[in-house]
Amino acid sequence: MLRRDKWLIRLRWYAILGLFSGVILLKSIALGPPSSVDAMALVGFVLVGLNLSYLAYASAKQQFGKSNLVVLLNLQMVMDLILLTILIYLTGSAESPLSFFYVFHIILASIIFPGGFSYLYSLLVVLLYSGLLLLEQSSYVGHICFFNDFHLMTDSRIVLGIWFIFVVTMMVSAYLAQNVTERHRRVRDKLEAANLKLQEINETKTTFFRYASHEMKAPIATIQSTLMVIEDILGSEADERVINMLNRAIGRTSETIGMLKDLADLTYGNFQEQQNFEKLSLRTLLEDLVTDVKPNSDRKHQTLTFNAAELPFDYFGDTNALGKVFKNLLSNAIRYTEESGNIQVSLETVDANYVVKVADDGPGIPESEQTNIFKEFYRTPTARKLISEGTGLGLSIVMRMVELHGGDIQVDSQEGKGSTFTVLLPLKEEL
Amino acid sequence: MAKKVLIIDDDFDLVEAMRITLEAAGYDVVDAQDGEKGLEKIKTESPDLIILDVMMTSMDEGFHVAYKIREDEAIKDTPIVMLTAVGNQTGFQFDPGKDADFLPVDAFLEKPVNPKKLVDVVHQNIKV
Repeated sequence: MLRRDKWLIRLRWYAILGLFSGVILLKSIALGPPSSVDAMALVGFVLVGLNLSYLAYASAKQQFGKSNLVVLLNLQMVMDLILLTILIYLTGSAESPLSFFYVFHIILASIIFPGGFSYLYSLLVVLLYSGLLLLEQSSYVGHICFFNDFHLMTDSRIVLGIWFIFVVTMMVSAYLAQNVTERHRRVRDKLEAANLKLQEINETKTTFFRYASHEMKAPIATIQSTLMVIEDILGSEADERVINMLNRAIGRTSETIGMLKDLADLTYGNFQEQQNFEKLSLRTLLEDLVTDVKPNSDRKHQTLTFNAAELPFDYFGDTNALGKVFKNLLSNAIRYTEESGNIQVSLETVDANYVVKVADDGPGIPESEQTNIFKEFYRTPTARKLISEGTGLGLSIVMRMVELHGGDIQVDSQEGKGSTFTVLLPLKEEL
Repeated sequence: MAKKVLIIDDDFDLVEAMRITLEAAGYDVVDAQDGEKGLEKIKTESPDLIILDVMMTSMDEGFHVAYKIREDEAIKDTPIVMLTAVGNQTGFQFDPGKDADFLPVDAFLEKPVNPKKLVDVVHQNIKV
């Protein structure tokens, strides 16, 4: 904003220079009533005074607020338009070619101010110009006959004058339009370059992440294999405490491997070649998953049901990613729902979306925690209390994968009554 | 005579863990640290089964070794158990369930290696 203010002040100096040159020219060729030309010079001096005060204000208050600056810029624009209207009046109102200059004030307003300001300024210009003409027509203000007795089209000085004003209007309009386009182009180039850089950084980060997680996972997998061999050899002969210690160590290595796998999953889809979109049946995918996890729910004597209409629910998606989404939601429901609880999975079409719901009558999620559950590494205190292990990455991965499909995930939960996770997958045109 | 298992893997500790388990189960175990040495050992040792790691000097060295074994008339019938890492951290998409058809191996074993499972898989696939 401050830069635009300084630019406007600089442009005004050129306008003042043009005005004084015009006054000198008019004097030298003795065109127009001398009193009018003198009044034009006076307008020039007023403009010099105003511009100096704008400059002083801008220089003294480099850091003033944006709203103050907007007020100041508006004040400058309004004053400029009033002074231009006075100049038009002094040069013959309707017969003055200076009315052309309104045009680039409108362009200036559209460059400097956001939104609909340029329309407001157009309205102001129309009001000022119409007001001037009306005042003259109704004889409240006397008309200044700038071109006096000359016949407009036969006097080459007048034709030249009008031609000159026309040329100035064209050149200034072109300069302003060019200026704003150039600025826009520069900003766009900068944004594009910044975006490219961000993408590169993101890819480097993801690559590093993938390799780091693999490099960390390999030795842990070997440690776990070794521990399992030791446990196997010791068998039942070893001290129970030693076996317990070994089991805990194996458990911790499993947890770490799980976390590294989850971390790697979070980067899934960051590379185009990783995504594998294909035609699939959501119904089959869900049925298979429900069958896969059924033994786990059976162990807890839970009722696990799947409801869907007898349709294939064809979808264009990444089987691996969607598998992770629903498996995660199902596993969570089984893990956190008490023994003999109920879990219902459903699939339906609502508007332009496939809607998959995983509902349980488990402990539910307090409202205050619902916004946090999709954050990385977040686990609700209730979840921690129920099951100590867990990385808090599962739902972040779910969200990431759903977003990869342009979908959305919502949670509806009440403490003590259960939770429903709803996945919305937009129907795609590829099918 | 005891059956011979060749482990081709560059992770010394994992090789040792598998060696202890397999020797306890009555197998003879030989090992090689990379694919090239592995191919040599197949010829000199004539193993009854090969346990082959995927990622060694390169990301997919194990796959190339498997193809070379299958292309060589003298050794092409040796059973191969392929060791795979969990997940897709390397970006190398591989799914034993889906990709088994075009991979010329007999079985897959996931790391970390469970001793009981190792013995079961070797027992099921070894040349009789």
